[in-house]
Amino acid sequence: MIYTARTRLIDVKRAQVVAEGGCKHIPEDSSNAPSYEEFLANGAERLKKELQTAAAACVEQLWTATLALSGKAPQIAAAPSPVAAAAPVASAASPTQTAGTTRTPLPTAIEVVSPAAGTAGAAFSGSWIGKWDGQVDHTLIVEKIEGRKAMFIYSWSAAEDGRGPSKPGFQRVVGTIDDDGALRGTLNNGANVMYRLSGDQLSAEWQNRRRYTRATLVRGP
Amino acid sequence: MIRIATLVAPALLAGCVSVQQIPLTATTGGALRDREVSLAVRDKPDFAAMTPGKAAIGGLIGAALMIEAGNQIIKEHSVEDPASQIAEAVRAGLNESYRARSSSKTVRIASDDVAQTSRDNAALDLLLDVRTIKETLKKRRTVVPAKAGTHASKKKNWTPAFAGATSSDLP
Repeated sequence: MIYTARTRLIDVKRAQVVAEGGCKHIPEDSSNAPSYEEFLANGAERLKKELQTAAAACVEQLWTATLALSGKAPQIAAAPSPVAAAAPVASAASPTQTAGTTRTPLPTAIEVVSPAAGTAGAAFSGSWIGKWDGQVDHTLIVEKIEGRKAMFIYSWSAAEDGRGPSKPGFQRVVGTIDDDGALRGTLNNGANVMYRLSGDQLSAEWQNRRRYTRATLVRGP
Repeated sequence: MIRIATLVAPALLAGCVSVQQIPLTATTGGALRDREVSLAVRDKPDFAAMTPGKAAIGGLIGAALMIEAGNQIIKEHSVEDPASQIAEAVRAGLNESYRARSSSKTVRIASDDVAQTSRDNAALDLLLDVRTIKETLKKRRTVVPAKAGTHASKKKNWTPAFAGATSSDLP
């Protein structure tokens, strides 16, 4: 398996490359390489697995050489389940917050800025907790709303029954307050989340390709 | 034992895409806080499958046939470009460690020209572009040691080298 890629982070406003690096994956020992037929069997299952290994190796190289990070690189999910796909990577070590029945990791520094009165979507501001599909804890913290932009923290727990993310994590997302009043955002793995106010609760939907799940969130601490 | 994949790897890696080493520093990394990172997507790179018959043809015609065969594999089995997984993981690192934020915007790009890409996507803040440079399903040949009094027998296996090569990149 040989794979090479280039990663660039471009500052569009300045038309400059902020960071750039390459990665390559070449197995040291190919003596046990499968046959051509073995690679393509079962819908090219082995080929896809090898490519995933290559992608993981690339991320590891970029993690230290380009991103200058010392921690362990996140794992790349194989075939995410509806809920697991919401959690593509393991979170950096962070304190775990207990909020009612919800335990999800959150960043050490959280800054909730109260929106001005009359701001669209102002009612989303603050902390919300719930469970995806009744099994994966979820915390939403809307930190800041600026115009139609909503900056929020999306946090999740590990699934206890194994039918979801194996590790908890969080990510910061820039979403939008749309004309229909819903808060929408896209997660790092491409999943779309949508939150809609319903009385003093939030109804939440998560969708990635054909996978779909729901949650009801209540005010957190 | 002859490991052809290893022997030709340097040639495979010599593509036309240049890669600079520009690591994030404390300054450039710190400046990412609260900035929005959008993802760039590209068309699927060519996938060259070096089957014995096509590899034997050699030259540009052999290369074109290998790409045609490889792209057919990608299409038939819905094989995803690993670049998208890498981009998601890298953005997660920027998100968690540098407090950059994920934007819901994804743009399709084709150029390597930073100025052009910036002009075409002026509404964005930061753009993360992971490009697969080369991907090839490549033959590995193993020579089984000959027994006394017999001819050496050869066993042909295959090892994939996923590298998004254009026809001009192929050896």
